[in-house]
Amino acid sequence: MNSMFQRRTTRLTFAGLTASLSVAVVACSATGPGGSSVKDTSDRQLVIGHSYQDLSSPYFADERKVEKALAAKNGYSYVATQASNNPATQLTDIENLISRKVNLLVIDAIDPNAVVPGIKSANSAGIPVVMLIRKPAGGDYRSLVYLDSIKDGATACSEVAKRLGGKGKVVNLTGPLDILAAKERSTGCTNELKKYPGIEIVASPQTDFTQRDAEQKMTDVLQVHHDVDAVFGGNDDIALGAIRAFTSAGIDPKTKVVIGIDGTQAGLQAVCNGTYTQSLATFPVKEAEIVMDTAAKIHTGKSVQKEVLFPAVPVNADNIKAAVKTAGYPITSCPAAK
Amino acid sequence: MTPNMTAVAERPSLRGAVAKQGNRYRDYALVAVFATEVLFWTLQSPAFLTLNNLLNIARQASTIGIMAVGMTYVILIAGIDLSVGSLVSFTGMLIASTLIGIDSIIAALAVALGFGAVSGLFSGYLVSRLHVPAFIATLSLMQVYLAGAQLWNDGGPLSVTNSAVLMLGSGYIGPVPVPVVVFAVILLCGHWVLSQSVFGRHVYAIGGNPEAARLAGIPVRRVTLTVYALSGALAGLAALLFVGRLATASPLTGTGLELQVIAAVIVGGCSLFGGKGNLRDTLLGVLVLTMLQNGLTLVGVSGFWQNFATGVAVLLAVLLSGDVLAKMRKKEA
Repeated sequence: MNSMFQRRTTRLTFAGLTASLSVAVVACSATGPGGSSVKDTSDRQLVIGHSYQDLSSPYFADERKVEKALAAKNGYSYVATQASNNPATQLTDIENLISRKVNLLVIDAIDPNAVVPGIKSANSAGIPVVMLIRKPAGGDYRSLVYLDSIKDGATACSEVAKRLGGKGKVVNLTGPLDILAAKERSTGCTNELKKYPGIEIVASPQTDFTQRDAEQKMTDVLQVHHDVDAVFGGNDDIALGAIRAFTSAGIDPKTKVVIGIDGTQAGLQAVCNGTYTQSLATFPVKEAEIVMDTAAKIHTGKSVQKEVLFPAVPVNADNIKAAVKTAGYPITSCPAAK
Repeated sequence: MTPNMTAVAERPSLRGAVAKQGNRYRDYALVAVFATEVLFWTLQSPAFLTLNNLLNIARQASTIGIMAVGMTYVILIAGIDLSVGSLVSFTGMLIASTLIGIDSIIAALAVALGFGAVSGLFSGYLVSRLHVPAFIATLSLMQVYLAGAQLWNDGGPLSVTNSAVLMLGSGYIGPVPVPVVVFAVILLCGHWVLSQSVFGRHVYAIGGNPEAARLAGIPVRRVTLTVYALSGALAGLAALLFVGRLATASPLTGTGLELQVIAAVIVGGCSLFGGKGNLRDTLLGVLVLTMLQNGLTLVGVSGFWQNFATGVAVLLAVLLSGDVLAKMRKKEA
């Protein structure tokens, strides 16, 4: 017991030390007065700490931007951290946010198991936790805004099958399989396509979620299978990389079915251009709104739903204009819109 | 040239002559690894040994290869440049923004080479003047550029439409992709400078023994600055080629590139302790790793096994082509 307490103290001290090191990351995302200067009373200002997986992803970057704006509008203080997809860094981030005395913690868990000690720290510090996307393996949370990545993969690939008329060659370009969402999207797609005997998955290369890598892997695949009919991309960047690979190989991407997930600005722009068939969009704006709404409810003592499914909307030429409006992206020309 | 300098300038080649005895196995081993790989993938996939795929491999190797030329110089003086990956991302954003203002490839090229070189000079300054260990200096810059690339457009990409830039990254001269031509020119120039010029000899001398090199009157600081500036400028050029290939600048483009580049140089047998290595072997190192990625995708190896295979292959290549064999033989003798 004693040693546990000691280890705990050491960890918190360590968190304090690293807080000063990571101050650059935190400072650039912080708005309003610092949490530490606020006295810990029940009617204190709402200080939201959001631990992100990785802010280099346009999706999370958009979400942070909206949350920051909403926080400023409502007079909350807002701090975002990012872990570059490293579960250990995320734990440190969470400890830092706790040391910084946030009174609401939003966690976008990289790994549902690795994040548990962080949630437990928040529990013992009495800080309510809102989990995003995935359910943690332990610890208490007030609300879970979840995405069903397996279902998303299946939905995306059922559209692939539909557009191919149940027959054709498909490339399943996945994200890094050590990221659970990437793995689940890929699995969801693979399982769905198994239902169609006429469809063959000719390759499932792994990419590092960058357009560069996706373009390279897709170019490699085209060496063997020049006649692929469709690509499922684990996210928009991967799908865009595949589209670029088609273009570079002298194939018009408009003649191919390319379907991905996320609905980022670059993704929707490609839908507008007609090169990207469909993106299963989970708008960062929507997610940010749900997060801020839930945070405000918890802070003022109102009840919140334990689990909220965050719906993904298929965006294609039929509904692209409305989707661009919902997302609030500054996209002006949209020739492919119907 | 002063007599003193000549003496030292000769020394590395003498060292080279002595080292050659041990390196003979390595020379053949690396070529053997390369040839074995070609044979292996040819047997595994009918698509491997086709003109199209070979050009594809050459194109993929060219961007990594351009950066590996700079990295070889850096590692030869016992340095390291971890900033190149993030530098590619950041310079890419810078290039895209420049093109929005001035729609000209000259401006893009100036920004790419200029910013890369300035960044390299800064690393070189930190290393040679302030004696910051190269690992730490360039690791810090890597983080700074990573953050910079993300902050630039709030984490979002910028698209690029300049046709000359797209031509540079995606175009062909006859059947040969333009980046391959650029890489060939840089490789040949780099090889000539390293093997024929006084500067090249200084690079080897500093890597072999920096203190002796300094006492012999070699301008260690100036050479160090130049070497890092070269690495930075070549990373900037690679950034321009990536932008032209992808028609977009993303803050993610350079993710993990530094490790691919360093791995290629090390597989090429360059010693991390400096003074040993050359650009022919670096080229082989780049090709060995590029063909590995290409082959794995062609054959359809997916998921975790790709990472696993890459790790094992790097280890094997280093064991077969590095000092290990030579050292073992020495012990036996």
